Amino acid sequence: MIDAGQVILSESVSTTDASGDELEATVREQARLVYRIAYSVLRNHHDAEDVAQETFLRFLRHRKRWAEIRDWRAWLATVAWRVALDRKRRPAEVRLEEAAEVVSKLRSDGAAVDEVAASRQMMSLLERLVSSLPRDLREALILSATEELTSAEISQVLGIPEGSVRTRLLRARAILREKLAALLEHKHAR
Amino acid sequence: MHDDEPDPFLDDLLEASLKQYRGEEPRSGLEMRILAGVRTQERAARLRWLGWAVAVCAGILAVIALTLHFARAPLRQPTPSASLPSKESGAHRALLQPPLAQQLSPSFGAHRAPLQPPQQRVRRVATRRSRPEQFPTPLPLTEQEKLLLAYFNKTAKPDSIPGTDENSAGGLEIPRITVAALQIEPLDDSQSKQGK
Repeated sequence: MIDAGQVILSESVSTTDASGDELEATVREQARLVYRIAYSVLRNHHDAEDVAQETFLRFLRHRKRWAEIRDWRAWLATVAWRVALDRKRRPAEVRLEEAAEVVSKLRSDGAAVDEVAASRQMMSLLERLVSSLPRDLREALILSATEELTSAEISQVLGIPEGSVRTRLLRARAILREKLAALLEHKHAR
Repeated sequence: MHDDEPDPFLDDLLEASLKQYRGEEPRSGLEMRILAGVRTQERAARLRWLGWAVAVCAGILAVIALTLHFARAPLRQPTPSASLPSKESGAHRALLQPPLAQQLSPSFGAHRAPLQPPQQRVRRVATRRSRPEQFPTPLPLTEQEKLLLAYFNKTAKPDSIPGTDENSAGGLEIPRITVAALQIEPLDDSQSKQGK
């Protein structure tokens, strides 16, 4: 069954040339991946959509070399990653102490893990902690957090061996856990 | 709490937070918005390219037109005067050219001075082609022309063609035409009055 969105999509992009059809098919399959990668870097819906649009525009302008692309997912992920990094602005300053205090209070009040994780303060805290990671660890963690790319695809995007991706992910998680524990237990002990 | 003791809450919180970190689902219609944006930008880029192409073509055409215009301009320049003697006729040039040139245009000499030698040559050629000021000297007859002239001298002349000479046209006599003298009677006054 075709939903209304697909009908509108087909009507809006009805083209006769092959590149138009190919573009439409690729957007349908990979738009979510591209958007998630952009969002993981920019943390903003509008910016992420702009980056997704820019990524597919570059994909269309690259049509003469489509035959040379072996893995379109990896190619699109790499372009989206680079475009997003180019657009990344300085993140808003989060008051780490304040956020940690709120999260610690939620834990003391007996809130469930999902409830604490969904809180705005916990998100701010995590963003701050992720941005404080070393660059190589941070990039691997961000791409992994999208849950759209495999380790092999992340290794293609970053241009590193797949084993290095796994190592970096483990190290990044370990550092995050340490910092989170230090923050929350410091507040919890007060 | 010690570091070597695992804290399940922290592990679960980190996992749950990282799941939240990937963000919410994109808003519905993401694909449509992306495609519409891509097509709009691509169309705008094509229009920009087309505009540049038109501008470049217009520029090239303008350069070609100007080049052709300036290439033809020396041919269109009129001669100073149709009645002026040829510049190459030595006596007339020595006697008449300086005063006439000054009468026609005070800046006549000034116009000629800055001309470069190639331009002068083009101008002279153009002047000669446009208006020959001296009738060309007749060339001597060729051998064929001489033979043709001798042939005409030896054969019948145009005056002695039969039928055109009065003496040789004996068979044709033209009778004299007699015309009676006209008699005009004077008008009668009484008849003219009755007519009125």
